[in-house]
Amino acid sequence: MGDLLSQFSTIIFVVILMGVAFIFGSIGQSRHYRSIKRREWQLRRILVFNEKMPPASFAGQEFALVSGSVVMGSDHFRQVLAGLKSIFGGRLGSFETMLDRGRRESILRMKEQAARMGATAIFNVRLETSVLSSREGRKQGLACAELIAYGTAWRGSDKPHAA
Amino acid sequence: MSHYSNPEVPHEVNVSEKTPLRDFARLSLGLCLLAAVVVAAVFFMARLFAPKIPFRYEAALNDTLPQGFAHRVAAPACRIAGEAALQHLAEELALAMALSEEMRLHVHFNDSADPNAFATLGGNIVVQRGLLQHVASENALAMVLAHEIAHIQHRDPIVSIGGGVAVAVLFSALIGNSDGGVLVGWAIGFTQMRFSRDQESAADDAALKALQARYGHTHGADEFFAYILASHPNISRIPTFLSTHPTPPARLETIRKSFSPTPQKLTPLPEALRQLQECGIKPDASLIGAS
Amino acid sequence: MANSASRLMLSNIEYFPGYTVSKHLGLVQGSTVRAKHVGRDIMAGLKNIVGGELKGYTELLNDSRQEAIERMSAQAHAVGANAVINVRFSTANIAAGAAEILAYGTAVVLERRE
Repeated sequence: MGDLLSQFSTIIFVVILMGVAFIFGSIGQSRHYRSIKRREWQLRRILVFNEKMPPASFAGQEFALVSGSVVMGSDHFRQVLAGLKSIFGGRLGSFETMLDRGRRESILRMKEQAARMGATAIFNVRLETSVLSSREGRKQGLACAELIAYGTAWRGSDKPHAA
Repeated sequence: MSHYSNPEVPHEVNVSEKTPLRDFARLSLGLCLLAAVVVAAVFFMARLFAPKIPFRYEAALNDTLPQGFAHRVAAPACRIAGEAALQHLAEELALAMALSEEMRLHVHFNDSADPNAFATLGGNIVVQRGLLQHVASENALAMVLAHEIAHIQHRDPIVSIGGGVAVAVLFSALIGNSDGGVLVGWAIGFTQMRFSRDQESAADDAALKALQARYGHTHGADEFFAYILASHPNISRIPTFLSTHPTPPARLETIRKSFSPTPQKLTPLPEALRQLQECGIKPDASLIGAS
Repeated sequence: MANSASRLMLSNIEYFPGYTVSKHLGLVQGSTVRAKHVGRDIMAGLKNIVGGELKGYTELLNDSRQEAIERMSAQAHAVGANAVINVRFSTANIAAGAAEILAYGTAVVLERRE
C-alpha cells in the first residue's frame, strides 16, 4: 500500500515538474527568440558567408579567427515529448527549436566578437554541433548540445563591394 | 564581380514546433492505445497457449510461488486420516474422469469455516472445513471434488493466471526492474481462480459425467449447491466455484436435469471424513487459504 | 612567449588576398580535456529542467577552446610561424561529464604583399 502511495506521489511529482518545465521553458524560449531577433537586426551590418575566399577588395586587410558557442538544453517537457515522438517517428519539433535557437545564438556571438574587432564580414563560416550529455555512459538522448560557429573575420575598410 | 550582402532569411522554416501541448496529448493517447492493444494481445495469446504448457512445468511453477503448499510438519491423527480419505476419493474420481497420469492431484484440507473449495496450479485442490460440514453424502462432496478436478483437467488454473503472468512479465521486462517476481505474484493474486462462465459450465458437465460413471447416477450432486443457494444471505462470501456466471439457480437447474427419474440411494460419507468435519485444530498458517 | 603568441594571426581560410605564404611549417595542434565540476553539473541539471542555455557549460567549453587555441599557438610559435591558417575545431565527449576540445591548423609564415 505504501508502495503504491509512493509510486503515486512520484507520478504527481513528475507531472508537476513537467508542467513547470513547460511553462518556464516556453517563456524562456519566446524571450530568447525576441533577443535573437533584436540582436540579429543590430548586427546585420556584419555579413557572414561560408565561402572560403574573401573578395579581392579585402586584400591586405587585417583578419582574425572569431567564434561563438552556446550549450543548449531542452526542457523536461519537451524532452518527454521528443521521447514520445521518437516512438512514432516524425519531426522532433521541440529539438528543432532548441537547435535553431542555439545555432542562431552561436552565430550572433561570433558576430559580436567580430564587431568588437571592427570587422565588416566573416568568411568561411563553419557550424558545428556536438552532443554533450550522456550521463553515466547511458544513452539519454539529446539532453544538451553545444553549437559552435566560427570563421575568419575581416576588417574591411569598406563594405566588401567588388573592386 | 558580384556584390556581397545578407538579406533577411526566413528563419521560421527550420522550426516546426507549433502546438507542443496538443502534440503531447495526442502522442500520449496514442501510446496508451498502443500499450492497451499490446497488453490485450499478450493477455489473450497467453491464455490461448497456456494449456499447451506441459503439466510438470505448471507443478514446478507452483512450487516456486509463495502460495505453494508446504508439507505439514505435525497434524492430529483425525486430520491426517481425513486428508488421506479426501485424497483417496479424488483419485477414484480422477480414475472415473480418465485424468492423465501426469496430472497428480494433491488434496488439502483447510480449517476454515468458509464453505469453499478451490483448485490451483499444479493439481492442488483445497477443501475447507465449512464445505465439509455442509455435505451429508459422499455424492455431494464428490460433485465438488470432481468439479475442481475438472478444472485441473481442463488446465483452467494455468489459463486463468497465464494472461496475468504474461502481462506482468512483459511489464517487468519493459520497466527493466528486478522486482519482476513481485509483479508476477500480484498478477497471480489478482487472477487466480477466476474462471469464466464457460470454464465453470464445462467443469460442471465433466463432474456430472464423473458422478454418473462412479455412482451410476448423479443424485446428490445438487446438495451443496442447494445449501449455498438457500443460505446465501447468511454467508459473507459466495464460494469461488459459485461466484461466476451462470448463476447458481441456472447451474442447479442443469444439475437436476441430469438426474435419473427414479430416486437413488446416496452413499454416506466415509468415517474418516465424518471425523474430519469435527477435527478441531488451529487455523493452519501454512495455507494461505480462501480466495 | 605569450606576447608573441598573441601576435599570431589565426584564420580558418587558406587563401588570403594581399598576403603571400612564404613558408609552410606543417600541422600544429592544441587540445585540452576538461571535466565540469559537480556544483556546475548540479546547476546545469537544474537548468536543464526548464531548458535554454546552460551557461556553466558554455563558459567551460569556451575556456577550453581558448586554451586549445593557446596551446596550438604555442606550437606554432615554437616552429617560427607568424600565422596558423585553415584552423579547425572539434569537440568530443570522451567520458561522462568530460569533453576534449581540439584545435588544429597549418603553421605558416605569412607576409603582406605591398
